Amino acid sequence: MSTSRRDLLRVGLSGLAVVSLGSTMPAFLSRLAMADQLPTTQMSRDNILVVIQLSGGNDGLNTVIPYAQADYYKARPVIGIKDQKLKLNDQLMLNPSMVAFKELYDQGHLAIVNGCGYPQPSRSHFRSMEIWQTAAPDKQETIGWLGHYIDHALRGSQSMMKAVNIGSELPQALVNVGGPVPSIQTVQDFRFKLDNNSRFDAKMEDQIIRECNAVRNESPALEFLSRQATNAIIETDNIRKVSENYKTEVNYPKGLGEQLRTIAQLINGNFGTRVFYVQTGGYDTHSNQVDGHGQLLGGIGKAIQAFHADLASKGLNDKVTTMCFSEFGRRVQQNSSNGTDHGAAGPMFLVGGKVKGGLHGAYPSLTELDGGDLKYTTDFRRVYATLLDKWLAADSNAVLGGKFENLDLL
Amino acid sequence: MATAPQPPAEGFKAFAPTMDRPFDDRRVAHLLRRAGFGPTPQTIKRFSGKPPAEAIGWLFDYSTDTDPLNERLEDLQGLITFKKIDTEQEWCLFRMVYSPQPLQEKMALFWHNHFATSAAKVDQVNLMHIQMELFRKMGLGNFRDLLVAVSRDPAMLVWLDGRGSKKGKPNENFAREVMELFALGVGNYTEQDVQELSRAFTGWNINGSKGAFNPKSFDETPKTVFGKTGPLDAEGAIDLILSQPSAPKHLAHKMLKEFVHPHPTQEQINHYAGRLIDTKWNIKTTMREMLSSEMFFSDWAYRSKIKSPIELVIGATVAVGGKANMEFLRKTTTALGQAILFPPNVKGWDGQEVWINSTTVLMRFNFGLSLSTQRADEFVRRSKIESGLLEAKATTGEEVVDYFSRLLLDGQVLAKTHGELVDYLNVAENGKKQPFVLKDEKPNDKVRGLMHLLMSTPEYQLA
Repeated sequence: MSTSRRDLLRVGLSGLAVVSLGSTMPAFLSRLAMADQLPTTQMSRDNILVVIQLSGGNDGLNTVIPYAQADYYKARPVIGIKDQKLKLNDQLMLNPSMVAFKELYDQGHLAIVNGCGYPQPSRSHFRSMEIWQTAAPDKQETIGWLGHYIDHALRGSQSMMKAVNIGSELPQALVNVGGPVPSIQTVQDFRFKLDNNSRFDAKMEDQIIRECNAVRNESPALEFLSRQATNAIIETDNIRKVSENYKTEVNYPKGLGEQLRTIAQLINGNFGTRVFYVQTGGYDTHSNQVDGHGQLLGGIGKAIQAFHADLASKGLNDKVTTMCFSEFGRRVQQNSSNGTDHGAAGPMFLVGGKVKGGLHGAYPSLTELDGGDLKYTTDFRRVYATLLDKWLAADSNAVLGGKFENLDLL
Repeated sequence: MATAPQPPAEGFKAFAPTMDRPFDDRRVAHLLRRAGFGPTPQTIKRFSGKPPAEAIGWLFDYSTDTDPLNERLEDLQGLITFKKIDTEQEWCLFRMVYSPQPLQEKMALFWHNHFATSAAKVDQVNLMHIQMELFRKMGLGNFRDLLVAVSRDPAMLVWLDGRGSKKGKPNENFAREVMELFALGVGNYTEQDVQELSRAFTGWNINGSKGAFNPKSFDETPKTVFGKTGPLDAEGAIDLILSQPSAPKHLAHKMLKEFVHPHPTQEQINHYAGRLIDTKWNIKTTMREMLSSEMFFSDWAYRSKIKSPIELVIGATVAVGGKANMEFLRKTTTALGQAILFPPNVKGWDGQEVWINSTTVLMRFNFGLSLSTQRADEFVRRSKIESGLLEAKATTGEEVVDYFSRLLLDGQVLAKTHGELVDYLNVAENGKKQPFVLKDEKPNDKVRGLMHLLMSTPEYQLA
């Protein structure tokens, strides 16, 4: 790799001014307070976007299945899905494990955008993921597309948590100039603990830890670490105060479900967060894919359904849109291990109370291929642009660095 | 903007200590952190002030003929069975804590991250064990031989689907990653190269727990890779890949990033790429030169890296002594983002800044607390910290702070912090001023609290 994510994170931080030693005020707050605010539209300003990244390259052909086409079964004699219980129309059906997705679809809360991709697709996981996360297929970009959104559209926001990553690694999509985006695994673990032998010692320890981690400038590494620690300490103070009130009747499944539950908890805390990001893996199905892939798809459907049910029970379903994407689809032809190799175009999903449910985007041809892979019919940046313009009250032209025609999704 | 020291001129020469730049605690600790899992009171004492060659020799000149931990393992046969992946993970961590050959374990970790194979897909504990043993055995060997061995390693054959990749139906997974991640880097090959090369790796499968070649499923027809056409088999393909100009640079870059500085210069990459070629891919010679150099011992390299979770956790465990529970170490490294044998994907852990976010930074501090208080589920036997202090005649507030600042932070603590820590010791639990004196060997709350505070500094997160 010529440029690793760690380099990108560094670049993302280098634009920051250094605040004085002792101060716990993050630099970006003071810096951005001086920046001009972009004019915003009349739209509601508290809509929330939840991005679910399906890492590894989801096999779109076995997700939204062209069951009426003989070419599909010809290319996939072993792994082609025959069970037709979840038909969407006379051409397409969902993978039979996607019962929860089908229910959302029937309620009009699921939009499927077929054939999403970009010109001259990369089959490298890492390059293609970078392209999806930066929305820049033709150049190496350091700032993520949501990072641009945070920098451009949320400049006036005083929230410490304009965007939150759920998980252990910050995705490049959230790398921005303004300041660190918190990564939170669970609300319970998000605190620093003290030995409670003596209340007086604990108070002193608390104070020394805060002081030791006040922003430092002897080296980039120390600056980075102290800034992260300082922000974490402020965030943990805030989060503890509010999210302990959260309760839900909904049973979330394990894994992605628990991560989405944390998001529901943070939404409930009302920290001014506009973007949540979560990653889930296992989609690199090079071998014996049918059962495992089905379980993954069934699992994410149940988790998303639980999340939106929880939101609906709190009257928040119209405030949240969930988007799923993957870095590429997979080769049309199955391989010798009853799996599929890296391909190109694939479907995206949008879920939410305000989503215009149904099928969007043309389904790619199974016969006119590009090196054995599906040709994209919808540039994925059109989906991003639609979300930016119609959901997040931003100017997609400024955020994406170009004009992409909106789709009728929201 | 923060300013960092610049890389030294003539940095490739062997480091020669001077009065101004001695081979002192700080440089010994730096070497032991990078080429192992950090200093102990014993190793600091042994190597500090001696010629650097002594420490370098101790680290590098280990034998791989017999495993130094064989006897310990032999005694436990029947008690420990390697059926569960947890046990295998804990065995890896145990070795890092207790092996007398720390660089061997550090190299195994380096290659585990380079050829990042996950038990999540391999799902056979013995295959993961065999692969880690390969890395221990060949970690300082010849890179070409290592790459050939990895291409037919059974865990790799499962991980990147080499098994069952056969003539007429090649699987591209290994062919792509061997170029993109293991040897060349993205941009140094075409999609056509991937497809052609995948045919050169056909014919391999797993027999029992070994890689086995079946000529019948090998595609013997000509392949065109990098514009050259030939019948190419796996070994031939690896030689062809390694003949590419980007190959030595790719590896030199990776080694420099891991062992010296997160942002090596082009000149440094070119120099060590040249050494890899001169030595016919000898890892030991190249690494030894790299870790003996002025560049390595410069202010530019010192504390330039962020400790990985394994470096943090094993380093702290080694420093405080005692008998840590391996389950505690496994769970902590996992929660901090580095579950050994489960790298997130074939690219391995990105490392450096990616290790740190609001959650993990707080968890690192909380780990420092656990390591200081040492409750029963975390330590099978508490370390004798207080008796170590008494032995070293460190009993006053000032002396105790100096002792730990040397052990944990190479004696490099800000004067302001140092003062605050002494004050912390010199205040009684009721808040009144009272000079601290350590009287006996009983676990002392103030001493434990001080360790926690030192491990909660940003400096302690640096390698």
